[in-house]
Amino acid sequence: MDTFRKIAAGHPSLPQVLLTGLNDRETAIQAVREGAQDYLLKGEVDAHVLIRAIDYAIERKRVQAELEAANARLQKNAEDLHSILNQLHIGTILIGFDGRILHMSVSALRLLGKNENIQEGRPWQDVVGFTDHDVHALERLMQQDERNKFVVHFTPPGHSSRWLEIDIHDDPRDTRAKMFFLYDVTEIHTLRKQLEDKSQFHDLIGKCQPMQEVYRQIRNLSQVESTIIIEGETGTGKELVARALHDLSPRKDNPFLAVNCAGLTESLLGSQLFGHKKGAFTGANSDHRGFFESAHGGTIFLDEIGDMPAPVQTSLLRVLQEKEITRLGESQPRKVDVRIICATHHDLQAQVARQTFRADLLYRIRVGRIHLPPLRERQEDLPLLIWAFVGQCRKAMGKLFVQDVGSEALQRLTRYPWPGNIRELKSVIEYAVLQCEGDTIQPGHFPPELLESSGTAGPVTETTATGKDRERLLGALKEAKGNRARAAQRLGISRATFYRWLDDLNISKHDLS
Amino acid sequence: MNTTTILLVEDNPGDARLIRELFRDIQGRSFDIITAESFRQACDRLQERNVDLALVDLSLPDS
Repeated sequence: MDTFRKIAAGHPSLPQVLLTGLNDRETAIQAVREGAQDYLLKGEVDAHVLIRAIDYAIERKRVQAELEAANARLQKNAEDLHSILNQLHIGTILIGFDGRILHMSVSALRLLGKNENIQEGRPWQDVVGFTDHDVHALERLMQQDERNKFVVHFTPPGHSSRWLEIDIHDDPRDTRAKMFFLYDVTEIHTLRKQLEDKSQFHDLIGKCQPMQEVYRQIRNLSQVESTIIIEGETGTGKELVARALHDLSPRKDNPFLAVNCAGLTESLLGSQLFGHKKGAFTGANSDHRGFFESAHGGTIFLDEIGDMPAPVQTSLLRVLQEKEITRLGESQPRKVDVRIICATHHDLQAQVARQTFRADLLYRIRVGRIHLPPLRERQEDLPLLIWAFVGQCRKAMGKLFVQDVGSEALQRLTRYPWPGNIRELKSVIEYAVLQCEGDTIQPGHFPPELLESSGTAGPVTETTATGKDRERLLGALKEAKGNRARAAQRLGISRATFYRWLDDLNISKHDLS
Repeated sequence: MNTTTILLVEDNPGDARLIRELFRDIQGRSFDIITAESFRQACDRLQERNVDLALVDLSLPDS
């Protein structure tokens, strides 16, 4: 027995088969437990038994050795894996089928704001520190078979608030177990938020200074009850401003009704706004509630108020002064609580001078004023608007293959004066996306009026940069982090023009770094 | 044909001879049987040769 043990100790890879008599069979069995491959009873051995025992022993030992080597490799791999996981910024949590944590990497502990190391064996829901809402959402996603991603926002005790993206995987070794990969997306989230804050406000798009001023006014004026007039050319987004004012106001859960005052007769507009009694006029077959009553508690948006017939102006003045309306054909006034926002593309002051608009009404409605700049004064917003509309159209029309606007096409868009402002730009983009069958929008995809305009005048003189462009160019470069192609795209000019501008403006390489 | 090298550790010459003869009876295989009569000798043989398998008598005197 000791011989076997000593050989095994000195030569662990050597398979041993023991020869034994009947009387020490027990010892042989013990030796097999300790690693001998087999034993043979001396008196019973024949050639067949012997060869089978030997072949099996050699084979078994070989397999055992391989298993042990594989095991050792696995063990080492597991250690390597854990140390790699611990070094990564990506946090890893392995969760068993029973929801208990099998492993949690150091980076996961850090991302979750945990100080103590031992989280293994605890239910993951108790450890992560997310809100109940997020935990339930994650539990639901874990039920699903496919990979899922989920973003949580939470504040670990004693730490700053953070955004974590959680990538939920099946454990490839056991589908009932799950793996969470945690990524810190706080920075991305913050940057994106800043970007959104600057270039978008509710449904309004634009980051130029005049639009920032518009956003600031909307924020301020949304909190008061004053009547507001929005001035701006047709297509500049006056209704979007009115909606933003409503959505930001305490009235946001009540109705927002938009009425266009242009092109309606006095009696029709009057009955639409204030309602009428059955029989008030020919065709008034029943009692009718007007927009003012329907908008009770909310906001009414009166577009093209400069086109409002004089008698309706008088009734509106009554609403503003007394906060009550009288249905046509009735004498009893009704109380209404409605905030009024007006808009016009006319010069109301000039209309007052011509006596087509009541002066007292004008003073009443322009308590708060918001002026929307025309698109031609928002050149730097053009690329932003173009990309936004291309993005909307390709999705809405199912033409996802449209991916780019060619530089020549961009130049055409930049040079066009846009008398119809953003509404016109949007319809031109819709037209172009509809026409475009390739991945890039080209000038040929635009409606004729764009091709007839200044675009034919030749590129050089028009694209000569002026002092005002210097700031735009440097600003665009800064935003594009020095990438000139992207900066040119932001400005809506070709790279060739971009470099010509650099020359025109005497901007040296030194200025660009 | 591959030769399988067997180290037979057996102090009883009769038993050793029996085993050798059994190996000789096995058709179609080639065996190289080296013998040792003690653990000490077995260690020496293992130093000298590559051995595929050891057949070890469980009741050696020096064990």
